Amino acid sequence: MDKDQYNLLTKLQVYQFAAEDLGMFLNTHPENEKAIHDFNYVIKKQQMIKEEYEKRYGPLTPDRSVEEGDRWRWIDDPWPWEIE
Amino acid sequence: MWIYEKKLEYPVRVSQPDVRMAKYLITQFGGPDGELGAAVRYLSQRYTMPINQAKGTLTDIGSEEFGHWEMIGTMVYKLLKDASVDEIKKAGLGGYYAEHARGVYPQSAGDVPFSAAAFAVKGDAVADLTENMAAEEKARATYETLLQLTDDACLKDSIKFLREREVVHFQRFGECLRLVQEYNNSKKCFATS
Repeated sequence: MDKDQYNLLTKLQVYQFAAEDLGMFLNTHPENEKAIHDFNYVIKKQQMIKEEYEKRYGPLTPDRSVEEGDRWRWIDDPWPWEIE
Repeated sequence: MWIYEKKLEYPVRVSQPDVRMAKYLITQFGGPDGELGAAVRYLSQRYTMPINQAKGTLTDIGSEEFGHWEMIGTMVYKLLKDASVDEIKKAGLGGYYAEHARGVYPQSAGDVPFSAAAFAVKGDAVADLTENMAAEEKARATYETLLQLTDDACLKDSIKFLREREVVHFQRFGECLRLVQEYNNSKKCFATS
C-alpha cells in the first residue's frame, strides 16, 4: 500500500476509533453534553475522510462498490490482513 | 445485523516472521480469554439485560471484540506467512501445521479448540456483568504476558492498543453494573399505601 493511502487510512482509523470510544462512553453517560458535542465533531470528520478514502482507493463496504464506473470493486486488493 | 468494513480497527504490522509468537498469540484468537469468546459472550448476554445502557454497551463492546479478533487473526497470519516449514517445526507448531498449514484456527496456546465452555451466560445482569469485568481483566493480564514474550516493536504497538481497550471495557462494564444495581434498588418497595 502506498504511503498516501496508508496515511489516509490511519487518519480514518483515528476518527473512527474516537467515534467508537465516545459512543461507548455515551452508552453509560447519555446526558453528557461535552461527549455529545465531541461525538458530533468526530462523526463529521470521519464521514468526510471516509468519503475521500473510498473515492480514491475503493469501497470499505460492498454497497459503495459500484458508485463510480461499472466494475465490482469490493473484492479488490488489499484486504485488511494483507496491508503492509 | 452487522456490516463489515474492509479495514482494521487499529493497524497491525510485524517486523519479521515469528512462529513462536504466533503460537502464543493464537490464544487470543480462540483461547479461554480470547477475543472470539469475548464477542460471543457479550452478544449472547445482551438479550436479557434489564436496562438500555447495558444492552447498548454489550452490543457495542461485543462488536468491537470482533474487530479485535480480526486484529489478532492478522497478527497470526502475518507471523506465519513467510515462515519456513523448518522454522514452524522448530517452534513446536509441527502438529498445528499438519492440521491447518498456515491457516488461522481458533484455538488456545495449549492446542485446545475454541469452546463456549470458557464463558457463561447466566441471564442475570449482575452475574453476567461481574463475569465480564473479570473477563476484561483476564484479557488485560494475557496481553501483558504476551508483551513480555516479544521484542517486536511493531507487534507490541498493536498489542498495547488491545490491552488498553480491555481497561476501557472494564470501566464501561463497571458503570453498567452500578446502573443495574441502581435500577434493581429502585424497584424495592419499602412502604405501601
